[in-house]
Amino acid sequence: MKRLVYILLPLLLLLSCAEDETVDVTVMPAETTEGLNTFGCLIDGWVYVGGRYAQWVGIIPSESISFYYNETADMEVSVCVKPGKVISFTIQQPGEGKSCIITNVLWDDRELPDGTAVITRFDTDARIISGRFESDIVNEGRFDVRYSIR
Amino acid sequence: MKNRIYRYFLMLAIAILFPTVCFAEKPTFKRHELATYFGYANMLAGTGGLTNTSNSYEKKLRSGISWDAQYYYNPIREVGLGILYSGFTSKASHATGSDHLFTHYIAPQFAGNLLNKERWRIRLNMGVGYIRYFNDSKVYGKERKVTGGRIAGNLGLRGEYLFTSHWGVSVVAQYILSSIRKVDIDYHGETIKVKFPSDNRLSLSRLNLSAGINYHF
Repeated sequence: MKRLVYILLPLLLLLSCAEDETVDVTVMPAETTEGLNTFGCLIDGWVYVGGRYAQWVGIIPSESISFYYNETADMEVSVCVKPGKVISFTIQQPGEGKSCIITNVLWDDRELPDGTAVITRFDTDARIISGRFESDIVNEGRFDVRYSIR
Repeated sequence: MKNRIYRYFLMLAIAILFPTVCFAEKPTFKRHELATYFGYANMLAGTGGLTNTSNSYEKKLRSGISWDAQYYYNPIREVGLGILYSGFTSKASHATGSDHLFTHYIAPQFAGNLLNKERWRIRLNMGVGYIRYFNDSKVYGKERKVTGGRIAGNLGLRGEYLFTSHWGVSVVAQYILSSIRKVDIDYHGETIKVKFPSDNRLSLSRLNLSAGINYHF
């Protein structure tokens, strides 16, 4: 019995980290510039929002919304918007007030054409990036997150 | 022509009601009572589960119209046992969506008369029952249906004037108290459960201010 508890308890803890049920994925988050860790877009007219479902690294749940600023000054974006469904892209050379190209756009393992992002805030001290984006079937996209550095 | 017709019916109504009111028999004690009311309601503690999270939008949906139906059995003149149904609706829209709220509350009631004159009565009623919440909303043109429910309670105060032995008119203030911890949202072919933090639940509390008629038999 004790052995069963030792096996089941960590599993239950892992599963509870996999989903944040307070996030309503049917309502588009407002456009903000405060680092509120929000992400949303329309894909084929349906709302998809990050923050509820964790991305999985093997059997370990990871953050739902990940923005990484890499050594080539590009922002790598990966967001889980449904269990097992991820939207990812790279923002090339983001700058505040700038319109940038977004490349390597993948939606549910489907490649999409390059798009554009308008950066409304890029604060390297507070590590906040906020803006709007669109690409082919993806529109009304917005994000307001605290990014990490690779 | 239309005005003449309206004036005719108004005079007919006065001709029927005037002697009914003036020369009506004294009201006697009746055991059964049916009532229906309509009026204004306000969700004083706010609401949630909406397609837009701004305060200004949420305020638009706090106020709406309410309607009640009640039945009482009065074993003695001063006390009544019965059942209350109370409904509420409000709606609003914004650039990318809309919300249409409904709540339905039903509860057994206990009532006691605070004032019991020949034609005037003041009655206090209270009960514990169940409230159901619906939001028929749209987001960027796609349907989004929100539902939830929980136990609720009510406290009301009614002033009634009996103008005949059977009929009375009333004004009512009724407060319904409840909040829900989670809702189910049907969107894009799926049902998603959304939980509210324990310190910020979706409030369904509202104050109804209404008027209507009572039938005693």
